[in-house]
Amino acid sequence: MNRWLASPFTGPALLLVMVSITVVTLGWYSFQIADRGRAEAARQQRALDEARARFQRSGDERDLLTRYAPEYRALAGSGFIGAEQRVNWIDSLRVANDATGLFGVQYQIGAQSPYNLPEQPQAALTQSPMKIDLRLVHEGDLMRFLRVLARQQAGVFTINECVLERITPAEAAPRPVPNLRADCELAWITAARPGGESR
Amino acid sequence: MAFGERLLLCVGAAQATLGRWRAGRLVDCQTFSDDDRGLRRFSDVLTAARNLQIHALVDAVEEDYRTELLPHTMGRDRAGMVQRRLRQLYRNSPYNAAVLQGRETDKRRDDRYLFAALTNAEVFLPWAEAIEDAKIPFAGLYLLPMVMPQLAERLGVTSAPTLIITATASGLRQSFVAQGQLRVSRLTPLERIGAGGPMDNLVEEVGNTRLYLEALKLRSADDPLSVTLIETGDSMRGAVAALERQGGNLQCTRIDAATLAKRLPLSMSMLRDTPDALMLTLLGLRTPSVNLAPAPALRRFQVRTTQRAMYATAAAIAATGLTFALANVWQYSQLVAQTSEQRMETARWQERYVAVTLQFPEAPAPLETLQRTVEAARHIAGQTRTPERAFAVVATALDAQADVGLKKITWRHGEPLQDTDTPRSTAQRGAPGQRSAERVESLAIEAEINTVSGDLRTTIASIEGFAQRLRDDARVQSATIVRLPLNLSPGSSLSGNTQERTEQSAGSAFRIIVVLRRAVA
Repeated sequence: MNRWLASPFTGPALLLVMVSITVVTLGWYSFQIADRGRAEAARQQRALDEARARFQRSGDERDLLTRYAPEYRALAGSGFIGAEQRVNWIDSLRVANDATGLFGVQYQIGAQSPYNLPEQPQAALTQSPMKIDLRLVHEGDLMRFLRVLARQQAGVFTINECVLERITPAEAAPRPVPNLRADCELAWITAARPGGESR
Repeated sequence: MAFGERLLLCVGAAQATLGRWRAGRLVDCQTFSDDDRGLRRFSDVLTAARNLQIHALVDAVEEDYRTELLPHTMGRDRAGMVQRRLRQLYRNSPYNAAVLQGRETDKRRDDRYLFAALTNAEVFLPWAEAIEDAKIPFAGLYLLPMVMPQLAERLGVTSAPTLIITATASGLRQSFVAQGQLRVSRLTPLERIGAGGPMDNLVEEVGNTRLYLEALKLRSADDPLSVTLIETGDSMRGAVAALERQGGNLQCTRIDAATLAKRLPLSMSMLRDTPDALMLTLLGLRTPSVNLAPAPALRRFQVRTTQRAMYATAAAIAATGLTFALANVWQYSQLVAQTSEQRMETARWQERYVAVTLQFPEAPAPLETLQRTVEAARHIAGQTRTPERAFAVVATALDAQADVGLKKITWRHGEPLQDTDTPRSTAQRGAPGQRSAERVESLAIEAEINTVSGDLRTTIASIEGFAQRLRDDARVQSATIVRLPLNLSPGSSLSGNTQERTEQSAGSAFRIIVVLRRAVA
């Protein structure tokens, strides 16, 4: 140790080591600072590009807003957007039944589940399956019933399946009796309201 | 201490001259006599200049030069062989060295070495001790003739072998330089020069040197000899004429102090006042490669050189690092300014955007949601189907064939119905989640033939006729009979009783699966 300390190269070697460490530290630290600056500048440039592009797209936005807002409001009014309107659906079944003079509608609504629309995968849609059981005098009654149901604007639904089956009518009666039984499966579809509220 | 400043010493038999090399020229020359007083003065001067390194020339008669051929070797072998030869040649003097001057052109291609030594170490020893005592880094010891090739180069007399004659503080020096290399040098000491000065002996000494060169076979008697006389004072005036009168192909050129002062960084006054100034200047301009100093004497210099190299390396690293750091900091400051400008520019664009959007109609939802939701609703509406078209297809076929009695119709919009179809969950049918192009309308018709004939052939013909009517409808893509009253498939077994009527045993019920073409919007 003493020999090492007495060496004429100890001082310069220590200086060299200290300078090297200091320079490496300083260089690394300054590079980090510069790198941070570069990253921030790049981020800010992206924000600027986005703001500029957004302004340039504002005309398109206006067109889209003009095109879609009325329809969106109408859909919201019909119950397509937001929480399910099961009461409205049931009411609309009753109204359709009365309007078509049927013999009553039995319904069964299943649990809500996600509805995947491949053409619009980003749309947050849900569906609630509804089975209805009707008695008909003839098959035209079913179509009239479905048309009236659609006109109620109680929501958006699709018809997945219908089974029409002949039933043996009761003995001759003074008023019309059902000859057919219809079992249909509908899907009431709703879209989530922006903000995520759901009931 | 200026960069590159060093001490230069020229030691002769009677005195020594010390100069200081600064800013590329010789300054502050002092002369010291070879006695106690002179050595004391010398020590005092050295002590005051301890930070400087010192290079020394020796101008003495006790010098030896030998050109020898040694077998060509490399690396350690060469160093060992040269050291052995040096020990053999100069056993009594520590001041010796050898330098490789080239290779012979014969078959063996031996290495040609110049061995040189100060054969009497006593000439330099007192000065060496003074240097050691003053702890001054001793950089090297050279024989004075070693600087002569450089003088020849500076004077432009390298084209032919030249005998350079100079008057130094120790006497008359004759150095024979050929092909840019020193071959032989002779010193005629002052004590052998008569009272009339070097001029009196010059002709005789040059004659002796010619004989010596011939004896060494460095030239023949008939070869022309070029002589360059270096004259720093008036002592050799008229020497050119005297030498040329001797004949023998001798061409003499005289270089005076004014010419030297033009070719070298040296003043005429210094040349006149200090005879050794010329040699010290040549030493300052370029250090000879043949260093006679032994390794122990050079240790302090080597330590100092290494230390300085380490300090220089540290300084270079520090400078590089500092430059790099400053460049980074400068770049950062530029980026900060740029970012600030970008931020303001972004804010301006955002303000303009907000100003424009204030004139927009009120949006019930973010634009993306708006567009996505409406497009989704349009897709759903576009792919929604009712059984109406399917029922119309069946009604058309039934109207044309009154013997078919309908029992049950199953209509599906989604995955087509199959023969073995059983009620399944909505998820299994895949109605939602299928692309609209993949969803089709299909029907399963379950009916029977109301016939009185009881003939199975007629019944089957009626069923096939009904299926064909369905197929003939433009709205139908396919109509497949999937169940007949009797299973006529060759792949299955069939049994019955001929005593019974066919419709009693097998019935007349059938099932047809119909797939509709896509409705044209």
